[in-house]
Amino acid sequence: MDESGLKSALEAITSTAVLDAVLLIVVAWVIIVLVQTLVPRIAGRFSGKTRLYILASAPLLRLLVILATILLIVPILIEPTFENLIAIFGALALALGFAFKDYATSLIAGIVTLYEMPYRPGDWIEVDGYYGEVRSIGTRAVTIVTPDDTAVVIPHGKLWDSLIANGNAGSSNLMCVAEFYLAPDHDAGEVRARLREMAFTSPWIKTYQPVLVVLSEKPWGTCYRVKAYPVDPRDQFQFISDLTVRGKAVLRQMNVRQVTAPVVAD
Amino acid sequence: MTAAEATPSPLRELVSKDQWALPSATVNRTLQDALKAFVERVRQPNWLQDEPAGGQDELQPLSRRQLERWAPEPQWRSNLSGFVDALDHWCTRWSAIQPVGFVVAPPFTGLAESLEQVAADRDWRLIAPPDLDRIHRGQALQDWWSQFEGDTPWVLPELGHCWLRTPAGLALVRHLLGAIAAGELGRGLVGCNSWSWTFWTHLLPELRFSTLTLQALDHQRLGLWLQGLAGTGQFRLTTNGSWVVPPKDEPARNGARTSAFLRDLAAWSRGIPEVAWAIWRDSLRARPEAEVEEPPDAEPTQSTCWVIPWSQVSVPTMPPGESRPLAFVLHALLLHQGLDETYLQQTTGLAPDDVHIALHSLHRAELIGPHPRGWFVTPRGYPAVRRYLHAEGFAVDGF
Repeated sequence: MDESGLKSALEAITSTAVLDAVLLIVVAWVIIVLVQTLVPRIAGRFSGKTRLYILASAPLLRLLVILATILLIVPILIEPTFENLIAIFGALALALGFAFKDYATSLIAGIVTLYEMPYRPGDWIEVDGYYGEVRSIGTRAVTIVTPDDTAVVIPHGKLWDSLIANGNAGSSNLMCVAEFYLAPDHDAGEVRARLREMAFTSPWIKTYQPVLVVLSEKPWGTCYRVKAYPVDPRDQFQFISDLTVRGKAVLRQMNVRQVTAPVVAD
Repeated sequence: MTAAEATPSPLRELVSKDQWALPSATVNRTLQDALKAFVERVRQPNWLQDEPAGGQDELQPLSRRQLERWAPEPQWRSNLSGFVDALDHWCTRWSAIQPVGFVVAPPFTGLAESLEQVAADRDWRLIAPPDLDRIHRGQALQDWWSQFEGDTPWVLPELGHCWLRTPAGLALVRHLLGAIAAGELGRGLVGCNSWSWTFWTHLLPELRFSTLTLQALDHQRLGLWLQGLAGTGQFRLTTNGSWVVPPKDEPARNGARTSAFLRDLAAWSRGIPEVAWAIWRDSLRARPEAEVEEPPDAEPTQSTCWVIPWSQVSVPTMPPGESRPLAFVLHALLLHQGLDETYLQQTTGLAPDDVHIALHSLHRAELIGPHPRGWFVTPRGYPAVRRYLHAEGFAVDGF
């Protein structure tokens, strides 16, 4: 790095320029806070795809504000020559690299998430055993809310070394599975057909998405898995519960016995 | 004006689904509606305000007597010539492969009444739906099946009344469609509302019956129909006196100022006659806002009915926010073409109190009303209900 270039660039910064830059940063910060507060609130008034589209606009708007702020601040502080820019950003990169390595990693991963989009607001993701809905994507971390209403903050840096499972990947289609464990002696074809039909009677279901019933034989009996999509991903637990209630009623009517695992007492 | 525009199709035209066309709104109107819907959703207006939902106009609506004069109730059992011709044409083409014809149409098109009239005119057997309680219990219904025996063609005016969205309530229609596909029931006609049909095509994706549908009314045919209901008289806009329904005779039509009201009405109502008619009735006024300039083409001998501009038309809106009980109730009502509280509980899985609360909210919003089968969506509320269910992710009809 050209040390004299950096020195001369920094010496040229006036106190008025610093004040202007700070003001700009404050304004940008206020805009970002407003975006991250208002956009989810507006999205909350909608559902389905509209909600997801509105939610997805929040990180994009944040990125635009950050880029605009940088573009405005740089010419205020320094003369934007090639040498000056190299000197400033080089020094900045060095400082970040040593002092805030993990923070910088998450910041960069946060930028990567904006175009790779491994998760978007409204997605249902699982990272390191934590499952929940992405509520907001910050500069450093993503916040998910678990089904038990616990907010979990996950640094974007996890993107580099963790497996991220995404249930709906930006769409409103999230497959749910209701499982039934039955004693093996029954008419499997009939049970399969009735369970599929049963799924269509649930008011929570998206009937225009495929409904599948798959089964597998186990040593203790037969496992049926009813796979279907709820009208909204947020309805997934209600939907699975509804399928389970309806399925048990159908099986009881068909006199098909459900099995339970034997429990060994201490 | 092109030749096609000058000679619109018959009012009750039966077409195949791929020929069905949704009336289009002007770009301006589409953008305005989308913006209005967005703002209303974001603002969440005080929906349960006790003041009557007043439009921008202060003109009194027509009295009941005046309404009977200018917009009498549509008679679905008359003027069926085009409808019957299309059915006959279809039978000639398809009866060898598919002896049972299916006519699928959205609610408020008078399809069931028209099919009942066809059965009466031709002395065909009219198949009444079984009792809902027996459907719900999944009973064998031998007596109902015996109605299909014999050589005379039969007519089932509404398939949607033959099933319930419960595990036991699907069996009858499943068997019926299977028997029709197997050719076991002889010649017949089945009418089905579009919501029920959509559900069954999802449940049985291999269902490949050839179907006919009623063509949506575009602004031209809507104008002809509404003018036909009124008989004599002319319709003009309250604000500037421009024609709402263009005059019939050629000299007067040339150069006449015509409002886009009918185009907006046709698009909003999705070309569904009774929906358009219900909104039309609410839009009629006895006098204009102020003295409007008499156009040179106006016929002084003809009486005039005034129509408020589309921007002042007030239609029911959905209560703000998300509510699964409301959505479930509305969807169930549309699937079954009306249900009472008991069967709403059975089909939605909601608790009795939740059903009552949902019905009260929807009734207050004028989105549903009493119906011979219990409750049903109102024609004026239908477009808002359909939009809402679509936005919420529910399966909606393709019309």
